[in-house]
Amino acid sequence: MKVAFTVSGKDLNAVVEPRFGRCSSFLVMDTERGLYEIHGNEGQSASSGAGITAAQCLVNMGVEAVVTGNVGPNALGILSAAGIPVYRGAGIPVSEALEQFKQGILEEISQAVPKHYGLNMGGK
Amino acid sequence: MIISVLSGKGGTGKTTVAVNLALAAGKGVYIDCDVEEPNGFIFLKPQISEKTPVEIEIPSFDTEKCVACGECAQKCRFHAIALVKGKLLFFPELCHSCGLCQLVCGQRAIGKGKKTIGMIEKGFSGSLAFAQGILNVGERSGVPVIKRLREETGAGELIVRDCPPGSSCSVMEAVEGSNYAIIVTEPTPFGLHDMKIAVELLRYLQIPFGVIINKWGEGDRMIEDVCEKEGIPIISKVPFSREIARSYSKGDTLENSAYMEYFVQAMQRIKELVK
Repeated sequence: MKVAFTVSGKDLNAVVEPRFGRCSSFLVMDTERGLYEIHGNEGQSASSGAGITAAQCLVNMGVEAVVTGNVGPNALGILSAAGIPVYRGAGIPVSEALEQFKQGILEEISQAVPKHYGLNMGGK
Repeated sequence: MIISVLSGKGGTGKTTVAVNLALAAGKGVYIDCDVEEPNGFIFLKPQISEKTPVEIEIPSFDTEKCVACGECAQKCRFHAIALVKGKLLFFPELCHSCGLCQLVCGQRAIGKGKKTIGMIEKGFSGSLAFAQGILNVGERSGVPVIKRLREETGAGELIVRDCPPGSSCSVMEAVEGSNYAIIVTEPTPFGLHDMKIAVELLRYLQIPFGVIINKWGEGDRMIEDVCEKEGIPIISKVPFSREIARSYSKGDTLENSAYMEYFVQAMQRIKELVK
């Protein structure tokens, strides 16, 4: 199963970022093989539709679950249409979030945050 | 003659100047182009007699013809279309009406649809004709509404356009075709900073302009120094006054106050400069 984590680092020690559409990159983990890849997020620099761009990329990659902090309405619309569940797991390293994901204790996100919710978080 | 009133910085007194300039002219048209938050009506209290919706073109998708190739989703630079499991998802609030999706669709499955994004209202306030644009909440851009406002109000008579703050596309659309522009500023570092941006914009658009310093006080030289250095005419210096602030907060114009003289003289000055 392919699981995507929103990250700014490059390995399993990277902390899961709270932003979805504007995160730096995605760590995509193949849970059966235990291998992962880092993919840059095209949405990060999009002038508009960041969440849509990011979600479309993940759909195209065949990702089956997403672990992030918050997700906007447009992105959540695409991910749910694609049947991809989204889980809340920000602020902890990917290795830990992955463990919790496997144990099935991460909270599934069913409600989107308002549009542009994460816009100012990069400066903090 | 079309006179546009802009400011760069918000809250310097665009509406106060635009409304009272229009009243000073006696006859003509006041147009509120600040479509995200029009407020001239509060002061002019017009009788609205005509309401026209403003529509923009958006794509409409023929799901029978669509083969889910994803070409439109891929080419849309505004990310307004997504393709998920062979189904197109369209996000109208991101669409810029560019029509590229219609051009790239090999199946001709994309046609023209319409979406209402706002309203134009027209009426009269005494002998003054009144028009305003209202953009619906959540819409991406007020430009189409401002464009319609410009088209519908002609150019023959004396027109005062109350422009949006800032120096964005909306402001450029609102000042388009003006014979003269007034930058309303205030003697504060922010007022000065944003005035310079407005100056740059008007020079680029080659629209002649002057400055009205609002909330002016003896000794506040910062705006005057820059205007003198840059050769920008100062049309008027409206003093800082509790009386003006009080009438503004009540939604009153300055028509029956001694301050009206500032706007009568400013209007004369502008007419001389435009000649």
